[in-house]
Amino acid sequence: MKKIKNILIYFILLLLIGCTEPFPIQDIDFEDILIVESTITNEMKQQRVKLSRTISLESFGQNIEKNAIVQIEDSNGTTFTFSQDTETGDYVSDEEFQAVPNISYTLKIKTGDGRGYISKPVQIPAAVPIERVYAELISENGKEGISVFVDTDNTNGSGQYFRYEYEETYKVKLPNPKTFDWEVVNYNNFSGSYELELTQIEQDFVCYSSVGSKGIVQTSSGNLGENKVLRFPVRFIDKGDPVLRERYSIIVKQYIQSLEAYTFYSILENLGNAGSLLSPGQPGYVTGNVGSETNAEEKVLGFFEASSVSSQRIYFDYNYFGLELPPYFVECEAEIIGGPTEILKRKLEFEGFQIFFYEEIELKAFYHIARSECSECTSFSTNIKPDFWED
Amino acid sequence: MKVKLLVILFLFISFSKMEGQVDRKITVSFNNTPLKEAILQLEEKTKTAFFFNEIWLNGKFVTKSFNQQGLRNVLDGILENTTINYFIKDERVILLNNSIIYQDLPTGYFHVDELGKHTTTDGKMEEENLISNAPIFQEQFISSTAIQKRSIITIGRQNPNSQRTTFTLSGHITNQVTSEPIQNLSLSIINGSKYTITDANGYYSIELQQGINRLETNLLGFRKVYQTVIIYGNGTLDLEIAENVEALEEVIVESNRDANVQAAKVGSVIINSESIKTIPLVLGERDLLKVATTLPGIKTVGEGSSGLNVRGGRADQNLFILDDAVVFNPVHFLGLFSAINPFTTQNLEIYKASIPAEFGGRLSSVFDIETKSGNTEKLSGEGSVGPITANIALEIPVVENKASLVTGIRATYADYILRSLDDEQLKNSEASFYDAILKYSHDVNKNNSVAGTFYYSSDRFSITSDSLFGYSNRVASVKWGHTFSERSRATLIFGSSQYKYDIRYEGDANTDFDFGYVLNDNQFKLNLDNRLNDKHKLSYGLSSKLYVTDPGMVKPIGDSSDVEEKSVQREKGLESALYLTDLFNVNDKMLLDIGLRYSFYAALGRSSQKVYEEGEPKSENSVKEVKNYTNNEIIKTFGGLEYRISGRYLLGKDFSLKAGFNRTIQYLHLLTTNTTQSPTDIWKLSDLNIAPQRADNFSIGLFKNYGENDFEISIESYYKKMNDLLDYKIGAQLILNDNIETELLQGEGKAYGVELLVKKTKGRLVGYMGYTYSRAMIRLDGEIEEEQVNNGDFFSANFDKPHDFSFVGNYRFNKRISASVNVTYQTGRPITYPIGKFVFANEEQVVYSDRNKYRIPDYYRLDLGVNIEGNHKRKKLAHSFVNISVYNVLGRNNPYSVFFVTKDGSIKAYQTSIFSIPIPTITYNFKF
Repeated sequence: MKKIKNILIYFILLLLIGCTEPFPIQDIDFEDILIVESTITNEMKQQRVKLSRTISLESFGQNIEKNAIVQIEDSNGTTFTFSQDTETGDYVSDEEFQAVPNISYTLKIKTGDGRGYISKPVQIPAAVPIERVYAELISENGKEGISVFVDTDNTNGSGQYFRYEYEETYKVKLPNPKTFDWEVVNYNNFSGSYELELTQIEQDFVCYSSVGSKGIVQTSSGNLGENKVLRFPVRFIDKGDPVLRERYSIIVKQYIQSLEAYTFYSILENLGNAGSLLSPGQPGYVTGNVGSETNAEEKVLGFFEASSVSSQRIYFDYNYFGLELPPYFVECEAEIIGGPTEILKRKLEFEGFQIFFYEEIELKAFYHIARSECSECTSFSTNIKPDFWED
Repeated sequence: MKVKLLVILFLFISFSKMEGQVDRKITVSFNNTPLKEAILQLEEKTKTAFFFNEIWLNGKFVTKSFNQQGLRNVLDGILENTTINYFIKDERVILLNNSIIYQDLPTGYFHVDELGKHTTTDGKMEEENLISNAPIFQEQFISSTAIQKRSIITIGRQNPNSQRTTFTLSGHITNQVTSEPIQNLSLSIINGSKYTITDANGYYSIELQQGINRLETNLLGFRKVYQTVIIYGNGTLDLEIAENVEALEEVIVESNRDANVQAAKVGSVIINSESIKTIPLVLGERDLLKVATTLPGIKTVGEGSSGLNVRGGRADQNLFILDDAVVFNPVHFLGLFSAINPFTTQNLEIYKASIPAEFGGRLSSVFDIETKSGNTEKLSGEGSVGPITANIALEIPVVENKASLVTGIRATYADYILRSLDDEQLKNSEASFYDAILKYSHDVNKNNSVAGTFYYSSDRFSITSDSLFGYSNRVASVKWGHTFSERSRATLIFGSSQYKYDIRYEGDANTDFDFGYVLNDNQFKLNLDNRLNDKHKLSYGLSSKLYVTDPGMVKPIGDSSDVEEKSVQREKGLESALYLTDLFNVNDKMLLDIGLRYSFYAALGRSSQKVYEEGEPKSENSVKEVKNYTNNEIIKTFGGLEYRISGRYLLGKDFSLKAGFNRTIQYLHLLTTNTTQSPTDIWKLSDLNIAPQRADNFSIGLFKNYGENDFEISIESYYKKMNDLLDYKIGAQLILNDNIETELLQGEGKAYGVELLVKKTKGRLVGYMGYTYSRAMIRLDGEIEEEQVNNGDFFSANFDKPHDFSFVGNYRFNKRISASVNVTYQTGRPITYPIGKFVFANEEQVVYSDRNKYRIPDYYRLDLGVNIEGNHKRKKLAHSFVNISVYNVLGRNNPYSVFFVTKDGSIKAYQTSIFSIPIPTITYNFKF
């Protein structure tokens, strides 16, 4: 009987799970397509245009488009020229400027191979300021955590489409701050013996990590009764997330989008999310508002938008919500290793350990070491306090 | 042989002289005399020639004495307890086994009142008694397996003055055991030139040439009856036909055998529920719709999709009718099983090309599912136990010989199994479905019958622990049939259907909601059949249906939910039609089926509809005006004449050419964001911004039967052109969208194909093999770029699978054991595959190719099954039938879909396949 039941169970599992399995992505074809991502805003700043090209499915990273001539023209006939930032690969306007209402802007690109691309003219929608950014302890899908919400009152406005980006910055207190720089000297290849030269350094106790948002977060106020954004969740942080261990700050940027821009972004977002496993949504090539000047059939993927932006920053930490202290990012178990040994050398040189304490007991040297994530800001963050930071 | 000789003799006998020696009085006595000897003595005494077959008389004895009796009385006496009849003409006595010779037909005999009664000519003998009291006959037909042979019957009296050469034979055909009328039985002349089918009440009528006519009956699941009749005039012939208990031998799936060659309609097929039981099926579920997909021209996107694609049509273009009312989603579990109970279903008739004018509202096909009329004499039932479901069906007599109830319930115990699991996540999952059907039929009197059906199917399952998804179909219909005369009948039908689904999401947070969707369809239909004369058979009527849909409403669950209540405005539409069909028998070779249907649709308020600027993409920004309509105010009307014309021309014996032209209009559209049909799709009515779909379908076919109809071969070809097919923009949001038209595109489609079907219907090996080459293409070429897909060129539809081969066979080893095999091969379906990736908004995304530019690997599958019948003792309590099958024996991992998800900023690829390993199943079936 038991066997029969097991067989039955096996059938049901088969039915329920239906065998969805990940598989290594394979190229069956490749098309080299120009990708355009640019949002110019009403902020007076150096505006940015990101140009890249598709890469094959099996490869990694990003293929930045180099040597392109990038210009934005406005309906007054002004041309803003852009130059590539060697560090990020983005094209940055040579001068600061801001998008102004009732003026339309057009993006023009000439790639290195001489092909021209042009966007449809765009205008900046009316600005709608963020009313409030706030954090609350909630539970979602059975997980407790902090959710960052946005309220925006747009009762008198017309902008209905909102896209959000955020940047979070959090303080990190190093459990085992590094106190010495080290150098291996007099290494004897034959015996493996060496000496360790230590240089005392100024300790970093506190680091500030900043992480930008990933992905597309959008809402529209059109679906709700009032023209309002209420309690829109922008970021959810699990209560055990180490970012909450010390002071945490998030700046939420609200971009007002045109319907076209909103649609483009939301399609892109939807395509990246599977619907039902059994009946996946119809994917396809998404047309944006940038096209080729010479060949109408050439695919270009991207959107050039003008958007009014407003932002708000808030601060909090786990204490605000009475949560338990979240763990540190990694396990920081300090190790004490005596004398310059083979093991010590390997740990320092190849495993990224750092020395945070040194002592001599009965003329024998003992090194207290910890992983660099536990002892050195620069390994994952910075020790420079951001200008905006308020403790 | 002797019988044959007799018949020939008989034909040449002159009927002018009547009665001679036979009047002479005889005195004779028999004491346990062999019957043959007794006959010979009579021959001697009366000087009359007796014609008979000795075999009939073997083993029969007679003990009787007669004093000064006429020959008739003597014969009546000595043949009393036998099945032998006699016929006296011109000093010849012809003995006949099992047959009645009607010399005279009383006036009024042809009146339809008499049809269906077993008392025929002057009470001589009833067919019924003949069969039930005739042991010899029984032996004969049992040994000759599924064939019933009967002796000659003469119909009518020869009238030397008659100028007519054709006469009408009509009658009533019933099930020998249950006395239920048998419908869809084909009755044809063996040489293939004439053909008819019994109607819903078992009546038929056929024009026959004067003289000898050899008829045969054909319906799957029933024994074949060969009946030779000699026609001298109009008359009736009622038949009782036994069910074919030796089901292993039967043909697996069969279009009306001779419909293949004879009928005027192109592309129609009947699947009898009983007949498919040997086909190996996944998890042992006998499934009419799955069997349908093994036939040429009927496809699915894959194993897990609920829609069928008929001859390049989309999944929403099929009209599923259960006892005259529409079933919107006749599947369980996302399409893995059909929701049609095989035990209560009589048969499924599929019209792939020539759709009768009485049906409308869908472009591509009609699936007409007919529930059995119950057994009016005794309780009978059927049931099965399989790994996933149990199913029981009963036929309950209510008023003897008049009224009965058919009921069937099928349910899964998947839920129970899930709950007994240790795994936490699975334990909290839910997966259940059931369907139930109840049909009452009542022959009120000679001229009136009523039938009512109620059907309900329900599915509930959770894919994630916090969501629960359910959908249901509710169907009810009432039908009243009235007979005015033999030539005219009327049927009045009321049908009501509801399809709804519901998604409940209950996480712990403030996003709990309940989403619902409802579609109601209520219709009435009046149909009249009128046989004008031998050449014209008219069928006409009118129908009207009201659609009311609530395309989506969401409401919060619990106080803490922040979800705002919202609903999309209700839609209403009235679809009406007038139709007329003439089945025109032009001559012996040519038969035309000319149908016209005028359909008319009105989108009704209350509603507010947006008017968009022309030449601009429909969006909130291009709204020119918002029009408001009051309740039942007409928003917009559509309509048109739909041609349903087909014809058959006989090119020879068992060989015909058929052609058809069909125009259809569809006012109701299924919106799906998915590449395949799923139960959460929304049916959308045509309105101010959405035009109805239209299709023109041309088809032609050659049909040929070989041997004693052992082989049936057909080749059919079609071309279908469709307009205003509904599609949608990439990434369209169809749920809870007030401006749904801004997401939709309407384009044209074309489909064409050649279908080859070879069937073997007799012998140890029976089965069929089908091959289809077909294409289905769509073009979305709006005036503006946003409304174009693939630059406005034709591209493959999701279900475009050019090559499709299937073989279904059953080999009978002996009366109890048979083996079945199923082979399927299909070109992989088209998909849209990524052709590169990139980073956008700090996240990896893929860029997709043009729509449906690539294909998933080809699909193939082999299923095997063994069927074991219980023994065939007639008096057993229940007949059992065990089916052991292995689905996907080769363990082929046929990918069903491939999709790509952005997870943690980078792209992951997934592949879904259903039943990717061999699945063995045992199902136990019983019948009593």
